[in-house]
Amino acid sequence: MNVTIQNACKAYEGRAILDQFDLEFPQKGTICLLGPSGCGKTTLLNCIAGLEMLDSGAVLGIEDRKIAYMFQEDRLLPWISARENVEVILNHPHIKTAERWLEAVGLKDDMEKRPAELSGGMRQRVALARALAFGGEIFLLDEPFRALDHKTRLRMQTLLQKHTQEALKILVTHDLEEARSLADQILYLEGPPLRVVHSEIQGAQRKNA
Amino acid sequence: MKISTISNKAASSQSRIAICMRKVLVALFWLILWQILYLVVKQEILIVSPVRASQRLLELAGEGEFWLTAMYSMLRIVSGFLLGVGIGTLLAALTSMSRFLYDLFHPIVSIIKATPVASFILLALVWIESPYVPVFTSFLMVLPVVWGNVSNGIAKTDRNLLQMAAVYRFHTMKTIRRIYLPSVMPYFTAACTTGMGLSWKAGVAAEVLANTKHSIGGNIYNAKIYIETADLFAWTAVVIVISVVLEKLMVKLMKAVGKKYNLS
Repeated sequence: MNVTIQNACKAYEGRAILDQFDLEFPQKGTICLLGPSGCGKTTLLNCIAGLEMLDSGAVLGIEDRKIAYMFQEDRLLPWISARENVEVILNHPHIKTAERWLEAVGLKDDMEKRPAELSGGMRQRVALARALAFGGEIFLLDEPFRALDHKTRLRMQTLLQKHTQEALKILVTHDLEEARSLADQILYLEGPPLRVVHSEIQGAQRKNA
Repeated sequence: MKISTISNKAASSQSRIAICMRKVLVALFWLILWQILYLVVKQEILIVSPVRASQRLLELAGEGEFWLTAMYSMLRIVSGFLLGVGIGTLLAALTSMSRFLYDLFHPIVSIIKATPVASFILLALVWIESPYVPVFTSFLMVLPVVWGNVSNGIAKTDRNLLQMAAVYRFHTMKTIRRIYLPSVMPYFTAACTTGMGLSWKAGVAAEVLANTKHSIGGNIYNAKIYIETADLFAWTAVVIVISVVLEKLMVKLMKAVGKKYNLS
């Protein structure tokens, strides 16, 4: 079943963030959510991840599905190394697995460093390695490439696409160019309360590329 | 790179010497002040000289009984301290899990915290046998401190990290081990440091009032009765030394454990 948001309502301190919001995502592919800060995108991701309960309505199609979430912040455990941060989410911790993913994001030489010793961009790449190592059918990505320079950003985007071909990726971004280059579909959002003002299918363009 | 490391080392050892020197000077300053005070008062009953106090301490240290006494006091007070730390931590974990348990225990812990230590000691004397009074008293002093600090640490655990743990399906033990324990560790260490000092103050006071056999407090009590001011000073110095040494050892041990298990 596709991930479907049905009649979702969610308010904070009397302010409606989601108000009878409906949205259906496809089985797989990259859906970019493009919209101004504070319009409710992160709340939507949190509800899909099950981190926040809706006041009413439902999120369907997430039962028993593995969801990897790259938060807006890196959310690494500060007291362990980059390698252990990846290892810790594995069910059967294997040093080699963690090392492989950190190598893939270009952090081979920094694996034993703790988050505080890494730059913002490096921490974001550790978080990406963690999400990829966890795997899953759904990837929630909240501005995952924000802190990266252009070149690294392109490399990480390619890496992500390569390893998540069968997954549904819901990607929040402020960058129209990024959205255009990655997305199968772009949803232009406004809010709160969150609403889709325009939807753009990118599929044909991507196939040609 | 190497040169800078070496010069850093040299600089740090130099600054260490400077810090040591300063500490020695500070100690000297207070010892001299003590000596001046003694010379002004000139009454051994009120105040003894630092020389006399150290002399008495050395005399005492020559007796086997002294070491036995110090050992027994330490055993009693440390037992009370450990009980307080253990039960305080357990209680904090329980009351953080359930609002009902928090509401249930909060008033009683607040009462324990506010009750004068003398009241506890005198009550305990009625309830239990003299050797256990210091244990009980130390326990009661440490319990609210540990409970309060550990509860605070649990409450201040980063919600963002807990959400991360939920998304990446950490089981309960993993969440405790990887997120709660390291988050609470600084609060726990602070509680233990404060608690160690408190347990010695209250524990020795309990020994005095309970006139516990083979105890530092008992000796302090006798010193008062026989107006042996030098003994009073010497035994007090013993308490200070043991308490400070134990606290330092404890902090070192905690740091080592924290480092070994990635808790800090």
